[in-house]
Amino acid sequence: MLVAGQEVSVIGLLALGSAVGFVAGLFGIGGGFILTPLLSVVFDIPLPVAIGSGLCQMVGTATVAFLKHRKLGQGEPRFDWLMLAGALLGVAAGAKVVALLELGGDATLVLYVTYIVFLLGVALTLLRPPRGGADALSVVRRGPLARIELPPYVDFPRLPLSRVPALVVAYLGLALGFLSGLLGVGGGVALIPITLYGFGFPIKHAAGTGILVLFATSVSGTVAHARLGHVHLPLALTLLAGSSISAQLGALATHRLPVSVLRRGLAALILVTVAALGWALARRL
Amino acid sequence: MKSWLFAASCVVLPALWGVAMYFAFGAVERRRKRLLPKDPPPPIDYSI
Repeated sequence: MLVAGQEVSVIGLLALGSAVGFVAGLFGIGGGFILTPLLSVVFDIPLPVAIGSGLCQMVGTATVAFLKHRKLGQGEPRFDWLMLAGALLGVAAGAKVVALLELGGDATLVLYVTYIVFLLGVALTLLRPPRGGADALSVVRRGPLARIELPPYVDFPRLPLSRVPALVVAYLGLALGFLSGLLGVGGGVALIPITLYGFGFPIKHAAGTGILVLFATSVSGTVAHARLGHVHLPLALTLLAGSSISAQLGALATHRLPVSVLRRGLAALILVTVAALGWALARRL
Repeated sequence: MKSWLFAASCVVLPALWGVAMYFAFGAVERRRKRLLPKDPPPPIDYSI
């Protein structure tokens, strides 16, 4: 398959999609933060095309997650609605920045460094043991972001958590949307630690919150990048074909492993991706 | 292809695939649950 002037093996793409899908199913994440940099590092696909196509395949995985989530009814929908407008603005801004960087000719360099900083932050959060042990994460706590005194306030009756500053949630949506448009990630990998440690959501609701935003950002990000010529549809569909089946196998395997092993495993995987990005960056300099 | 048409197909095709996968795996899961034995036999007691 020819992608942006590069001959790419379809079997290789299916294998990458399957591997990322398995990991995504295993850890309950979208996997975009691994898929997009690996498309660039392993297959030498230009990063803007990897970001656009990664978001496009994410529409498929986000659709499955959204349908499943509607059935399970976990998470706090008010949180999603508060983030939504900011997230949509952020996605458009992120895609615009990618286009500007591409015009300037230094998109890959800047985006690689941004990826490395973002992924290192996520890995360090995962490696930090939770205060009060893993059991503390199953109940509602009032996290530092929920304690900020900034009116207006909003209540989350499903958790239950009251008097949370609405603007903090709205700006969080803007930041996550921007990351999504800029890096081609769904944002779940950043949102789950923020809701868990920042706001003090119980782990069950932290995992279920943000699915609506994930779905909306993947759709609007795909449209924004498609209009900029960053989406390669056959590439996205090949990755989706590989990932959708293996994600189910990963989800089945997740019940066999303890949470601490899963958390450290995900951190190790992120650090391997960071090392691959660092190596690719060093080659380019 | 017009840019808006291409952008729409970039959203609709993966979403359709997602919906198809959701129903396909849902059916597999329902079948797996249906085939599970309702009253599994008691574990064999090897004690003497």
